[in-house]
Amino acid sequence: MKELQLSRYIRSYLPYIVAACLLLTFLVYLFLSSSQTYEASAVIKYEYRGAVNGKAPDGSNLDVSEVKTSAILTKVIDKLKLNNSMYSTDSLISRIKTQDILDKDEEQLKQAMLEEGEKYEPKPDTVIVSFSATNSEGPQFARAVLDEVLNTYFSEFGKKYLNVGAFTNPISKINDSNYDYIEMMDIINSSTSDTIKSLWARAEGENSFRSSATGYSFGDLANRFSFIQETKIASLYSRILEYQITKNKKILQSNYSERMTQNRITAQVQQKSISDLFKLIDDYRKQMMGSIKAAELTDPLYDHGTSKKTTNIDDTEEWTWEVADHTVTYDKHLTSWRDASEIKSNAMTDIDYYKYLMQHFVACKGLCGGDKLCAGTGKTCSDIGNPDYEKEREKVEKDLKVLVDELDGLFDAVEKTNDEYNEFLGQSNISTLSTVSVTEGLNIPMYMTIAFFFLVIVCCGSAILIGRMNDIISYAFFTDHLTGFNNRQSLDNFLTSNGRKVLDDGTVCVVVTIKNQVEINKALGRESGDNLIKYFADLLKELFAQSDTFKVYNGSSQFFIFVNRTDYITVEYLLQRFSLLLDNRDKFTGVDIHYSVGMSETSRNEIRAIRALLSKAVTRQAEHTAAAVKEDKQ
Amino acid sequence: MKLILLIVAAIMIYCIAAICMKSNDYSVSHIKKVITAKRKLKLWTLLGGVICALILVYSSYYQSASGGSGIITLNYSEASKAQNSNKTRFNMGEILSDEVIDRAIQKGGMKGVTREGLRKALVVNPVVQGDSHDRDSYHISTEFRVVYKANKETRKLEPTTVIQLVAESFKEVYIRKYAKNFGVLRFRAEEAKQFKDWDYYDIAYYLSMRADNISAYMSELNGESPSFKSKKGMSFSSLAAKSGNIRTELLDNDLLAYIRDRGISKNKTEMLKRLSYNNNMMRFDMRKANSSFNINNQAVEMYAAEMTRIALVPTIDGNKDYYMSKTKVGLDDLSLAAKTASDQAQELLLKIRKNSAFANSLRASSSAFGTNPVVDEEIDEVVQSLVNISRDAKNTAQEYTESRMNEVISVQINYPSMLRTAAKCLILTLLFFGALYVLSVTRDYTEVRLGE
Repeated sequence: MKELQLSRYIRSYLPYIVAACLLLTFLVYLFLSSSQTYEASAVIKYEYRGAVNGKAPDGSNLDVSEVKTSAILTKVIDKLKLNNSMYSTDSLISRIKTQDILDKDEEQLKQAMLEEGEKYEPKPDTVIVSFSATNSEGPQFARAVLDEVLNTYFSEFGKKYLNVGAFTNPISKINDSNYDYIEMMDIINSSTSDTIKSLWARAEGENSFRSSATGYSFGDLANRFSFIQETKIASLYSRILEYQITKNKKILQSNYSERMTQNRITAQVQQKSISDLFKLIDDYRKQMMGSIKAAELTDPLYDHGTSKKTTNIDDTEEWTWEVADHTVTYDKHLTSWRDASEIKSNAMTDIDYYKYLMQHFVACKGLCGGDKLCAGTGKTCSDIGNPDYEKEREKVEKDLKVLVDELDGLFDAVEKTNDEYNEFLGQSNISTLSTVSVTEGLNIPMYMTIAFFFLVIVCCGSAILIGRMNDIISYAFFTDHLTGFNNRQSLDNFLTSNGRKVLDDGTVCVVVTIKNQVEINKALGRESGDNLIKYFADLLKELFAQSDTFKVYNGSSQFFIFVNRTDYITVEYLLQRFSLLLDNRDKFTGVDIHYSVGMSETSRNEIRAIRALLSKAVTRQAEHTAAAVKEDKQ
Repeated sequence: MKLILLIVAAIMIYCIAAICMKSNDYSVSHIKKVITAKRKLKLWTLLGGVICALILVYSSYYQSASGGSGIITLNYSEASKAQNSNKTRFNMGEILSDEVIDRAIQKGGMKGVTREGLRKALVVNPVVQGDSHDRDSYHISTEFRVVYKANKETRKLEPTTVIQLVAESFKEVYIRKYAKNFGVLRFRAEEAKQFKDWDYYDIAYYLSMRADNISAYMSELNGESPSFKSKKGMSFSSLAAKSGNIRTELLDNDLLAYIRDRGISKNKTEMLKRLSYNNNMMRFDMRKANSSFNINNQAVEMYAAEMTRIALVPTIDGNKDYYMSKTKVGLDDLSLAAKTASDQAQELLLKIRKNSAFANSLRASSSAFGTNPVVDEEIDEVVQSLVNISRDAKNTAQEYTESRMNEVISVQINYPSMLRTAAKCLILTLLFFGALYVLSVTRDYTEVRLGE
């Protein structure tokens, strides 16, 4: 069998090894690429005072996971115009992660508490927010989504915790409604008043804010609304009342009548509540006074509170005072009494207001002819008797439309200003420590390099294994064990596989046959005869060592050698050397060795088929004799 | 170009491996000897080199014709805090927002190019990005690289022009959205045209409001930069004072006072009715405010003294000093509510009295209907003053903004260097040719050894 030569195996399979390594590495690359993820992340820090204690600006607990609520993600999906069928809020939420960043002191505290077995509640004010995108979505998608999430979160944070109260525009389609003119004016006036109040509340809080989108500050907008209220709204109101302009007097009357009735009921109900609360407050006070006095008798030091000791991280002690709060319930009762009283009082005032309005519409101005023809009809006195009524009504309608349009424009400006204010508040209270950066989830070049080297080792190992198995199989089935040459079976396979090939120039077939093998066997014994055959094989091996050959022992002391990429003269020379070596041999010197040698070459003999080449070589065998050497050294 | 380098590397590795395996000699000197031995140049190696050169030249041309990049830099001061100039959060995605893309298409007259088509050809990345997981590597990006790679829809567009248009469009959109808006400072004489249908009181009110707008804006800017002076030597404080003077002297003390005192109105009847209505409405509101005051006051009186036994509590102030503070109870809230209601009632009462006084003047006045030339003249004077102050305020504010924003956003286009591209092509061609030469040498070497 051939020797175990690792380099031979690798060399013979080198193209396959290279191709397999490259192909498999490419497949690994495809697999890794498809599994690649991109993580966009940014660092934010809550800057307002309560943040270090884990509190939101309104005093509630700060929940950083609010950055991934469905309300925010819905807005993000809208803003980025993502396909709803591909991206649901839940799927996006699951890809957003928040990670608290603790400073060194906080880390130490956490470790200490965990070691003591105490429960540690993190109060982070610095957070990493990240979003993962798949390979098909790409890094740009990850960056865009995270940017938009943070933008929306900052705005919502400002809206929820800092900019209390939203602006609504209840008058936008009021002209299309079925309200009477005075009712529309009531709604317009009321919403304008509420808006002015809200605007001034914001102007007083953050009077340096001015919107870049609209150019207005909250104060500017409040003044605009006030101007409209005191001039245009007031003017319209007074004209409607003066000219008794209504769509239907009877319906209007019923409407306000009903309101007055409702208000009376409210006042009555509140009165009951007021009386009950008054009694409750008094009873509560008496009971509390009694229990406090009793407590003081037993504990002279009882003073409505207790001291509490806490130990800090640096082992210093701190005393805090916890007030025993009896007043909360009492205050609640009193505030309820106050609220009920105000509701009742306002209800009564509103009744007088409605009466004031109604008296304008039902009054007879004498225009209907002085006979009170307007009484009991759906029309007012002016409607019946004033020639300018219709003109004035049309003018009021037109002015109302203009007013609503103007207010719509202002409400729009308020909304834009407020939206920008929310963003401003968010950014003022949450700062960005590091803007969005995108990293790859997998280090593909590194993994590919590792995979490549691993595959090289595996492929080389496989090549060695396959090569060695080949050697074993070849030795077992296709090698003549005596000579080490290929056997007849191997020759058949060789002839079959090359049977249809057109041989190149320089392909030579050599046939060597030991003619007197039988005699030598008889003279020297079977074993010596075999040794002679082996001797011939060794000689041929040595001579043709540097050539590309296919050597066969065909049995019956016959050798075939097929030599590639050579020429006739070179092989002839080698055969001459063969003869010389035999003549000057140092083995089997006591016997003559008769042998024949035949040779054929493709171009010289103009043969291109392997079998014909072999036949030619066989037929062209020439007899030779290597005479016995005088002194037998065997 | 990367592919060429890869092929060169693969060929060299193959050749070195083949030489070593054939000769069983893995020394560098042997490899060097084999490769550097003098041999004839084969035609196919020359041909390969020429083909490589042609491919490289063509691909370089194609790349420069179909792609380009530029850098957008945010220069304003808030950029280093990841903010827009109006102190809201900067979002990198806005560089390629719908508005910017549409504007670029419109400016460039890009026919047949859709918004999505152009967007797909553009990518924006920060020039430097930090690492969120390493405290020392936090970074706020203020420079962004815009890369353009032509697609089917945009292949006819010139890359540097596209990038320039996108960058300029972004700048325009950004300034419109986030730079200071001076619309409220603008007061033109044309605004006075609407006064035709307004009564004098309303005109005076409106002009007061506009003067207040200018005054407030100037005061805000003065708070930001008290020392700033325009080229004409105007400061924000002087402009605020001037507009304040217009409000006080020309409007309150002159125009409004004249109107109220003389009872001037274009339509006395209508004005009287309006004032009456206004007063009636305010009386209802005042009644509510008074009622609220009384109720809160009554609640304060009802509050049991024993329930407010004051507990002094040790508290830490802002300087981390201890002091004794009173606990806050409902009494405080009720008294504050009473005060608020009282203030509101007073305010309403003041307005009612002013309206009543004006109404009295109107009744006493002789004219019932029509214009008043004296007032008209006064109004024209105020309008002109406001026009002048508004122009000065706007110009000063714009100068200030321009100086602060420092060109806001600058753009640097990366133009491809012909020399650099040619040098790259030449080096790669030589490398490829060298690899082919080594390959031919290797083939010769291995064939010779086979034949030995």
